[in-house]
Amino acid sequence: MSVSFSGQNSGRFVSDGTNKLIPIQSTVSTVEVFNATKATIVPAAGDVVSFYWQEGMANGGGFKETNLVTGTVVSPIAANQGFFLTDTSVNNPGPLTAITTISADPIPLVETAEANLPVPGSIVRIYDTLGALQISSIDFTTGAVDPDGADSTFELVHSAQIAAGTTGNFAVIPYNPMFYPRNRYISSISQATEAVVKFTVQHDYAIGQKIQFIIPNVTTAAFGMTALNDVVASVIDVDLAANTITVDVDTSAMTAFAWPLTANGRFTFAQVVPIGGDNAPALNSGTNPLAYATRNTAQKGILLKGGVGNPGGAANDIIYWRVGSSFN
Amino acid sequence: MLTWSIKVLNLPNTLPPQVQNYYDDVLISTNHPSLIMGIGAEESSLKAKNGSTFTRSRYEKLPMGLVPLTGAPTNGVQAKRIDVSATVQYYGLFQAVNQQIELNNSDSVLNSLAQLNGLSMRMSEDKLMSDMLEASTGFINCTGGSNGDLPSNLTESSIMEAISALRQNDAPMLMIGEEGRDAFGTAPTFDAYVVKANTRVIPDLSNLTDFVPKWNYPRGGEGCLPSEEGSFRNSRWLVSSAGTVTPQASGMGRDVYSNYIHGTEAIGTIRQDNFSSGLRYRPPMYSDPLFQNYTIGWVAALVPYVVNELNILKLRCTLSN
Repeated sequence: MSVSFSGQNSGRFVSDGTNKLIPIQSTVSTVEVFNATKATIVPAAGDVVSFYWQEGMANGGGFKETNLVTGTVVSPIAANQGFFLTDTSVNNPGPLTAITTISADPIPLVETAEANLPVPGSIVRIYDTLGALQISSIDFTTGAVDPDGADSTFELVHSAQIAAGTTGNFAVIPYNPMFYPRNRYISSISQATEAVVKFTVQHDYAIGQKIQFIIPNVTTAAFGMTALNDVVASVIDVDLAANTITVDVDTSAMTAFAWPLTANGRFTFAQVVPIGGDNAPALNSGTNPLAYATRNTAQKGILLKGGVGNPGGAANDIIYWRVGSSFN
Repeated sequence: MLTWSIKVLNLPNTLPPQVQNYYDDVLISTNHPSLIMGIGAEESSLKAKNGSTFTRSRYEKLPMGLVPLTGAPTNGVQAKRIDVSATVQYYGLFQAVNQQIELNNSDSVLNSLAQLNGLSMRMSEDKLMSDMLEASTGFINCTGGSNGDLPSNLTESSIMEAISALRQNDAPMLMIGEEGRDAFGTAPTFDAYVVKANTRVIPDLSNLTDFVPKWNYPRGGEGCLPSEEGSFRNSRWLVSSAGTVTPQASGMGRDVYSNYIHGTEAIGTIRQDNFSSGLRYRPPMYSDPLFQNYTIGWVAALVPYVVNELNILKLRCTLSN
């Protein structure tokens, strides 16, 4: 009882040098990409002009056509530098990867084998690191790779400073949860007339969003700021680069926010829960008051790896793509 | 005496039957999970031609006036409102069926696919609610359990901590208690919040002191949902194989189970007016000039959302073994 269907989608974009997801709801059977910027009258040797992937080829692979002095050559794309079938509703953690140490630096450095370093901006989950048990099962956005030149470290760029840890594991979490808005773990809170709150994972809150603080009382010192527990606040400013929000709560007289220690056992994390919006500050700041509406952000499609010589192109490359779907 | 001599015998390996399989037209049931995530959800309709985003509002409590007046003018107080918005999105899938078969077919394929599409639609709605709650609700980790993990396995103190937090928020309960009855083995039930959990927590749940299975309710579980497992103090537990589980999320790398505990006005679903979810059947005459295929599928326009964050909490746990 089989039937055949086929169809095509096509489009164009200007690359920013990063990975590009082309949303395609149906099955992706073939992908063709053409880099118009590299297809010049006088091609430079080594420029990659076109790419191809078809169902049955390795995920992350494909073929590319490269300019040579004497003509072009078709060769396989290097592993994990090509096309990826993507479904962001499937969010299984990657394999467990061993950690050697976590440093006590202001921005903690995680040491692991060089081959396992995550791409900056990834989300990783830390598991049971001796001496740093207080960050077990918490997700962090990663920062620069090898900032110390050691060829084996990456930053937990938004983490609070902790005592050093040893021997644990981490896993890469492919995507954020499907639905927006998302609750986030708190990394730090300033003592100020308008508190600045930092999160462990890159946040996506908007001005005018209403949030509620959950600040558990783990010990006499941690998390501190118990007066902030259950308080509802409005987001009045957002700094995505620093991964912070500013809220309309005066914390200057509250006890300092402090992370528990590894010896403090198991606890509930300090977190911020989105509860709705306050249209007044949103409208005053020119923010769309519907920016914080609940919605499903899941996407299916084909991911083009960004960068020089990759299907997603380098910054400012003009990319044409064509995706074919067929099934029977 | 006569004897028969058979020189040529027709056997299945020399003259096989023309049809070697018989397919019974009575199908075996397709197992499916209890769909519990939408229980207690408020249903709203987004009016047609009014955009894709639906907003509901609630006012925050005004401050209290605790200082006696002196007759002099006082300042007014600011009223504050929280707007809760959600954007309706479309979901669906379909199957295409060709007129040709390989051998034989006894069951009614179109009827079977219609039922399966209906099940797929309801399961999708259930999963969307579960995924939304996982992303957006505040949580408490179970602690103090026997497995040493974070979160630990279910403990009475953690469940009471969650109940206490909801009561501290003045969250109204969803279910009314039942008085005790003169029957051996039965126990009264409390007014309760509903808890939506995965079936895998049943062993740990059953081991809690003061857990009352629904068969020990005053009326022996009469009137209870099939998915209800029992009650513990101010919580009544519904379980489903589709209950939320997050893989590899505990401190030791185990799966974490999310138990959503909530009262009334906690969760909701918004559906598009004039576009009710349903089956879509396209007859063969529209597929090609020779009428070779038909399609059947489902489509829905909806969004799940948290109505009032104060009335819901997620209790995270692992299993004791």
